Amino acid sequence: MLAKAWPGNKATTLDDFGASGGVAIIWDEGAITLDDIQVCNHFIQATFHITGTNVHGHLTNVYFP
Amino acid sequence: MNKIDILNTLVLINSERTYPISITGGDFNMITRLEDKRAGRAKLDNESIHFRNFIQDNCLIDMSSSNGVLTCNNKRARAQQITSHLDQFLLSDNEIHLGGDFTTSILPIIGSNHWPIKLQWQRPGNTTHRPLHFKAFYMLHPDFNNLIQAIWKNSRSLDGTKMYRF
Repeated sequence: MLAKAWPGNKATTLDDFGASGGVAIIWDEGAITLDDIQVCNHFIQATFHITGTNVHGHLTNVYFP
Repeated sequence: MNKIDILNTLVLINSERTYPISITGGDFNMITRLEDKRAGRAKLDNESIHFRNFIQDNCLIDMSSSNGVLTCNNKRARAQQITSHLDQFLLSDNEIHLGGDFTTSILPIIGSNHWPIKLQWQRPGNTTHRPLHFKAFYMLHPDFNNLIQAIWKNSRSLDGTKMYRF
């Protein structure tokens, strides 16, 4: 589904929890680089670098039960 | 793992982060203020208070959306509908050093009972929408008043308020 919706982009996902939840990060590698991706029980965390800048940081996508 | 456990895990992980900038977004499933909920039980529980303290203690900015607050509904109609501000982006308060503007906006709902939120960063160049964050330690600079005065005097050619020009 991701390949159909956003062809060529990268993704990392965390499955849902029963009837709800689930987390996905989808990114364009030409615009942003994600490294050190950690998929935990309720969140995905990665370091990011915005292409063409000196901007680095940490991105966390959460789902609380 | 309950919500407080997850918050504590995030604190632990963030304490070891490499870069100062952090962006945390998603469905927190908690409100921090009574105004963040319309209808239903109006009470801040222990998790909400813990979440509010998490935001304050970790110097995070709750990025308010330009076009609304509520991000989730219970799929009911009329008097039975409960809507809440459960989804949000939290930015570390040092994001201001990046320059540029961070803005969030709520997008149209599609299928889910949650409205998507778009976080956008406009690269430095247009600072008109940057949120104001005043730190008391600014005043400790020995030349604070003179510095502000000089900037205001030298920015007369720019349009906008003095704070914008600063």
